Amino acid sequence: MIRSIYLQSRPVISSAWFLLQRYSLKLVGFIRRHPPSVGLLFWSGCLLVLACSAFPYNVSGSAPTQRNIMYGRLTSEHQYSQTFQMEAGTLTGIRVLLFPPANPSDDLVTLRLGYDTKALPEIAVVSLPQSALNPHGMTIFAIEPFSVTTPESLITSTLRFDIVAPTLPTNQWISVVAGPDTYAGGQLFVDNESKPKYDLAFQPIYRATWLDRWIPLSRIAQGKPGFLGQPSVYAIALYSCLFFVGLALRRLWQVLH
Amino acid sequence: MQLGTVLMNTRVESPIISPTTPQVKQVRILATPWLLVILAFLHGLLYAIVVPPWQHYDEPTHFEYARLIALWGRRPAVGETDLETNREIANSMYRFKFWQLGVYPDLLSTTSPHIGYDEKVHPPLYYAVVALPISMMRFLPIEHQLYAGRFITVLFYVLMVLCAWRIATIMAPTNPLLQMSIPLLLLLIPALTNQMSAINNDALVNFSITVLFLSCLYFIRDGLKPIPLCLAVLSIVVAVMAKRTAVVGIIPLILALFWSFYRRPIRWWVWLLGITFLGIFLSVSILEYRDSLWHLQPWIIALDQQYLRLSLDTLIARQPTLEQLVSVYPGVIDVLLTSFWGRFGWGHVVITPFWDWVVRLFTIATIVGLVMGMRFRLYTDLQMWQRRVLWLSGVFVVLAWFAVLVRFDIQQSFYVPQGRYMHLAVLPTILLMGIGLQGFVPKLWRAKVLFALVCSFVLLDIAAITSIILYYYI
Repeated sequence: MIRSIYLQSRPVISSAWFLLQRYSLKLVGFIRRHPPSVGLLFWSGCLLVLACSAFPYNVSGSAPTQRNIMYGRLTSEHQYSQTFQMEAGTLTGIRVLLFPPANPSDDLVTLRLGYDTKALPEIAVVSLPQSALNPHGMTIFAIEPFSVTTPESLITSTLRFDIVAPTLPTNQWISVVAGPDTYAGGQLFVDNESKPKYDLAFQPIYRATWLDRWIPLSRIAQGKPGFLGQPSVYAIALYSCLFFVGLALRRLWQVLH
Repeated sequence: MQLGTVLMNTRVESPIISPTTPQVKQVRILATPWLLVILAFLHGLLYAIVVPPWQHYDEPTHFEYARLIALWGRRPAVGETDLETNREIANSMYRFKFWQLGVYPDLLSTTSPHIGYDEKVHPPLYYAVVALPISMMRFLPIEHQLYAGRFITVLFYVLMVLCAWRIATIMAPTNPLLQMSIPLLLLLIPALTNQMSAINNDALVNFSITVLFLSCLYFIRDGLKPIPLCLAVLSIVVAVMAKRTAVVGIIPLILALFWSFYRRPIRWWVWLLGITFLGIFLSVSILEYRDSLWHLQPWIIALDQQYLRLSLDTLIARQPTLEQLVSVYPGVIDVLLTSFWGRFGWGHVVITPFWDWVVRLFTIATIVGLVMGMRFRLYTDLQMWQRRVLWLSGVFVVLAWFAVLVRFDIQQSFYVPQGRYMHLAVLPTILLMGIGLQGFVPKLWRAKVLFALVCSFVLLDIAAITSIILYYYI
C-alpha cells in the first residue's frame, strides 16, 4: 500500500524536486535582494501567533493508561462511577469506553458529572441513546464548557461522574471496560462501592489551543476580566515582546560592528 | 585605549550606523527611543497581564487606598476602611486563589475583611493619580479597575526607560552602543518590571528619582539652568509626596547643585576635610549627649514620627556589636541583592538559583571593575562632569543601600527588607554596571561585554517570565 502511494505520487515529487532545484537559488537570491520589511515580518508573525492561539481544540487530560478488562455490565440496576482530579482548563466532555449490545435501542445512557461531595449540585447531565454509543471506541459525553475558576470548584477539585441506564430493558446491558489502577487521581465505584484496584476506561476532555502545548495560555487567560480572558492576548504580547527584543538586539549588534 | 575612549566612540566609526545623508542619520537617531518606548510598553504590559491579580507586594491595600480616593474624593485616614470595597477585594482575592485552599474570607461580617497591611500611612500623590482611571471605571468589576491602575504604573515605567535613554545619550553622546545598552538593561531587569507593572507607590518614586538624576546630570554638565532646576524641584517634590524613601534623593541633589556652582577640580584632601566637617556638623545638629548617652534632637524625632517612620531613636539605642553585624548583615545583603534582580509576587516567586549566582557575579565584577578602573586610571580621559556623574551614581547607590539596611532591625530580625526599595537607584546602578564591567575586561572586549551583558539580561528576563508562569499556572 505504501509502495502504491509512493508510485502514484512519484511524478508530483519529482516535479517539485525539479522546481526546487531550478528556482531555490533564485528565490534565495530574491529574498536577499529584497528582504521583507520589519513591519511585514512582525504582522505576519502576529497573524501566525493569532491563528495558533485563537482556535481551540479538544485535548485529553490525565487518564488511565490501560483499558484491558471487560469489567462488568451496565444494566438498569447498576451504576458505574469514577472520580478524577479536575485539571486547570476548561472541561468540555468525558470520553468513556462502553460497548453497546449488538442491536442497540434508543434507551438512554446517562452520565452525571458532579463534585465528589454530595452536598454540591451536579455540574452536568448528558444522556445519549444506546445507538449513539461507539461500538469500536470511546464515546464522548460532551458537556457545557466548565471551568475551575468558579468559586465552588475551589471547595474540591475532585470530580465524579456516574454512568446509569435506568430505562434499559432487563434483558439488555452495555459492556463496561476498565483497567488496573494506573490513574492516581481517582478510582472506580460500582454501585457506590469502592474498587480501588481499578479505573474506568475514561478520558476527561479539555479545551486547549495549539500554543497551549508549550505555554499554558488558556490557564493564564482563565478568569481574567474582559479581553484579558482571551489566550491570544498573551500569545501576541509574548510574541511582540520577543520580536522587539530581537529587533533591539539586532540594532545593538549593528552598532557593535 | 582608555575606557573613556570607549565611552566616546564616534558614530562615524561604524559603517552600518553611519548613514551617508544627514536625513537618514536623523531618522536612525530618532528610531532608537521609539523602539525603546514600544519595547518598554510591551514588556511592562506583559508583566502586568501575566501576573495574576493581587500577586504583588501589598497590592490589595495599595489598590484599596487608590479606590477609596476615587470613591470618596478625599484622602482616607489611617485605619479607615470601606466595608464594600474590602468585601469586593477579598472576594476577588478568593476567586483568584490568593489564599490557600479551604481559606475563605468572611464576606458577610459587619467588619471589613482583612486584606493586608494598611498602606494609608503613605503620602497620597501616587494613589490620587491611580484613582483617576479607577474613578472612571468604578462601576466595572474590581479586576478591571486593578488592571487600569497597573496600566498607569506601566506608563511610569515607559517614561523611566525614556529618561534612562536620555541620560545615556547625555553621558555618552558619541557612543550609540552605551546609549542603547543602558535603557535596554534597565527595562530588562525582571524585578523592576514586576514592580513597575503593579499598583504601588514605589513606581512613582522610581520614576521621579530617575528624573531627578537626569536633572542632576544637567546641573553637573551645564551648570544651574532654569529648566533643569524646575525639573529637579518638581521631581523631588513628587517623589517625597509619593513615599518617604525618596528623601535619600535630597543628598545627591545637594551634591549636584554644589557641583553646578563649583565647576573646577577639587583636590582629594579638600573633599576629605569637607566630608569630615559635614559629618561633624550633621552629628551635632542631629544628636545630643545627655545622661551619658547619645540621643536624637527633638526636631529629628518629630520628623521621624510624622514622616520617616524609621524609629530612629530605636536605631540609635540599638548599637549592635561587631559579632552581630558580621553574623547577620551578609545574609541580609544577599537577600537584598537577589531580590533586587529576580523576586516576584510577594517575594515568594523566585528565579532559578543559577541566575542568582549570575547576578552575584555581575555585581562583584562591577565593583572590581570600578576599582580597577580607578586604580589604572581608565577614567582620566573622561571630562570632569562625566567623572562627577559617575561619582554621583555611586553616592545614589550607597545611599539607597544605606537607607534600606537602616530599616533592618537587628534585634528583631524577622523582617528582612527587600531589594525593591533600592530600585529608586536602579539607573545609577545600571550606569555603574555598564561602566564597571568594561573596566573588568581587556581592552578589546570592552564593547563586546556590553552586548554580552544585554544578551544575558534578555535570558534573565526570559527565565523570570518562565518562573512566573511555572509558579502560577502549572
